[in-house]
Amino acid sequence: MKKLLKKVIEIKDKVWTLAIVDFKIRYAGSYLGLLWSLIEPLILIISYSIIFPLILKVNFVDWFLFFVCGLIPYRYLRKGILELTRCFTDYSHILVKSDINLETIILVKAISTTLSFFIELSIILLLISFFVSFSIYILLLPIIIFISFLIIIGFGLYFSVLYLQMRDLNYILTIIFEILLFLTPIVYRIEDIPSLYRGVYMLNPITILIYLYQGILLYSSPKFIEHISIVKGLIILLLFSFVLCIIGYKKFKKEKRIVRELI
Amino acid sequence: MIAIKLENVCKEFNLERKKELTLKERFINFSKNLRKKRKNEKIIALKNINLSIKSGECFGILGENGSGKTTLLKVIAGIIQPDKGDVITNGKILPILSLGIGFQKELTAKENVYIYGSILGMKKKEIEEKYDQIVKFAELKNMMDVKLRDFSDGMIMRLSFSIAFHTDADIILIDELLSVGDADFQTKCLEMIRRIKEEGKTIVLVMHSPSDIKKFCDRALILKRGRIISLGPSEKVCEKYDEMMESKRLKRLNRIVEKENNIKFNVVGAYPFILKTGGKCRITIKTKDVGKINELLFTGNSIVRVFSNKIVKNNVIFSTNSLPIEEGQYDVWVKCDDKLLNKSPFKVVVKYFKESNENKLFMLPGKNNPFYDLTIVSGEDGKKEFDKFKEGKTIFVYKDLDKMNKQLCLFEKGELITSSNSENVVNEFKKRIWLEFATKYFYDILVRTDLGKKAMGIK
Repeated sequence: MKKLLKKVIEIKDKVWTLAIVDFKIRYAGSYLGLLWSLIEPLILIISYSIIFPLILKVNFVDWFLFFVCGLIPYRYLRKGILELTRCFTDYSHILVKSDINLETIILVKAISTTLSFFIELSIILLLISFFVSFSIYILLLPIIIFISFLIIIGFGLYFSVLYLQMRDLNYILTIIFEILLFLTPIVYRIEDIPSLYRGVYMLNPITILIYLYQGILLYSSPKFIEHISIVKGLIILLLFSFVLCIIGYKKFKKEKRIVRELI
Repeated sequence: MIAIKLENVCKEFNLERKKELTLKERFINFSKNLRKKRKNEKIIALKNINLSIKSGECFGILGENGSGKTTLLKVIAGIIQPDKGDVITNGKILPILSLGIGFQKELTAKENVYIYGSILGMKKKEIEEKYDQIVKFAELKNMMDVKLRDFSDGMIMRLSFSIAFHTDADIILIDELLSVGDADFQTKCLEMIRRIKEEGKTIVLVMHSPSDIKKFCDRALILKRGRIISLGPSEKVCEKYDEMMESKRLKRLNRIVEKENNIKFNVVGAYPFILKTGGKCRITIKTKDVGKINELLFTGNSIVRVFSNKIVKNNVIFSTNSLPIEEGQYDVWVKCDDKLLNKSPFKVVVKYFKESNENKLFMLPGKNNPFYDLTIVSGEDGKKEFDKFKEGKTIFVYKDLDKMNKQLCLFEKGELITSSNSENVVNEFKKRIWLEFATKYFYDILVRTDLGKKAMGIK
């Protein structure tokens, strides 16, 4: 653990500089720059907001708040995992010619995705503040972001090395995330699931994660129903993310040697 | 103190591993493998490398493309882990395998300094401290806030080079940097390497030119197919490398001759190839596209042979020098004489020169030629050749006439004047030219002097 901490301090500057750069170049060179990162989810939100409330026949504002609070973290998770999966090939030009360590690349990508998440998140916070007042639970927001970050890192570590041996993984993951969007309470609420299946449904850690995001952000909304206590959920997720990170890191460590040969 | 120590380092690259990267490929290969047993394709990049480099030493690595030079650097830098063996290094390593890694064209030069600097392992503070120095060295003071996409390649090189060499490290690995950039940049690189060397840092250089290795490195090694085939003081190693390259070239050429034994080529440029002692080779020279060939040389190591003959029935072995040859297809037999070739292989060079005075020392016989009467013929039996000349075949005279280690004959108005070794004949030839020239233009002056009278034979 001490070793790990020392290593983190050692590569801190490198990771931070490269993460900022990664974040910058994502939007550099286009006229609207950073705005593009917001336009894409905005259009998604608008199109969903027109269709779903009509089908589900629910109150638009309530539905919309829960939808946005679920969708943005979900997008963060999806984007993070997908980007981390491809990160070694994205950075192959640096990896083959420099002794930069692989963990640095993982962290760089994860942080740069987190940065764009922060921008989206701050807009949601602004949006929510018009409709609902924040509860005390908002203080748990950093923790749940940290958990999402760990989940991304954990999956990222595992998939990034797997991707090098199986280049289809990228497509497979995209499909999985498309499906997962509807297996998590984003366009609908947990209450809409028949109580018979709800137990099985709640086994999905991503479901809990999205649910907790909604809970933390919208606790004071009268529409929020507590299916699982937020603190309890956080602890479960924290354990889950730690285990995930350990599994991911083990796999990563095992395959680390061949990464530079395969990119 | 030892800076780098490699013990029994082996590295193989598995090609099979890289082949099946998508499900489609896997599926195809799977069905293939049912029919055929899979071969394990492996490339040996490094084999049993034992090496120790002292700190403060400048070490050179030579080798052909694909001999494992870069892999060796990568193993030392820790970019690649060896399959077997140990790599021990003392001190911070700075691998400069290519310049400007991670440069982003959309960002400003200043931001790029931070990117490249941090990839090379500099702390942010360190970069800030050295920023002015870096800019000064790169000579880009007013350009630092410009986006990198507006930089010329040369400027990018300068910037990245400057950053790389301002990074603190104990061991610096440099991979063929000097093959890029203009002459000015190269000298700057070399100066910097020299300065670093003086600072007492360990440098490992990969270069293609043995002369540079000789200049900078104390010791060097040659890699061939992942193995060290020579290790020692740089001068000795470089000598060996030069030898190796030459012998390889000759070997390759020989292989072609042996294999084809019947070479066709257009007579443009030089075609060096060698024949083994007693070997025979048939060269077909197509002159269709080139028009008249003015000069055709078959060069032996030190002997110049001029051959050409129009072959009528496929079996004439030439021995004459009647050139220029006319348009058409010729068969030329080069037959190697055992006596000439007891030591080194006989190298035959077919050269085609475009008509220019540069290649000729003497003017061709012609109507406008003031020295029409004078003719040089090579060969011991000059008289026979001269008969041919009189029949209308022109005789060519060569640039390296003085160097020809051969009997030459000088004719004046068809009469043999002297027949001797080339040096004497050429001297005599020059003397006669001078005389003829002088008589024509300075007759009036010459007849007034004693020397002139004597020279012209006037009493």
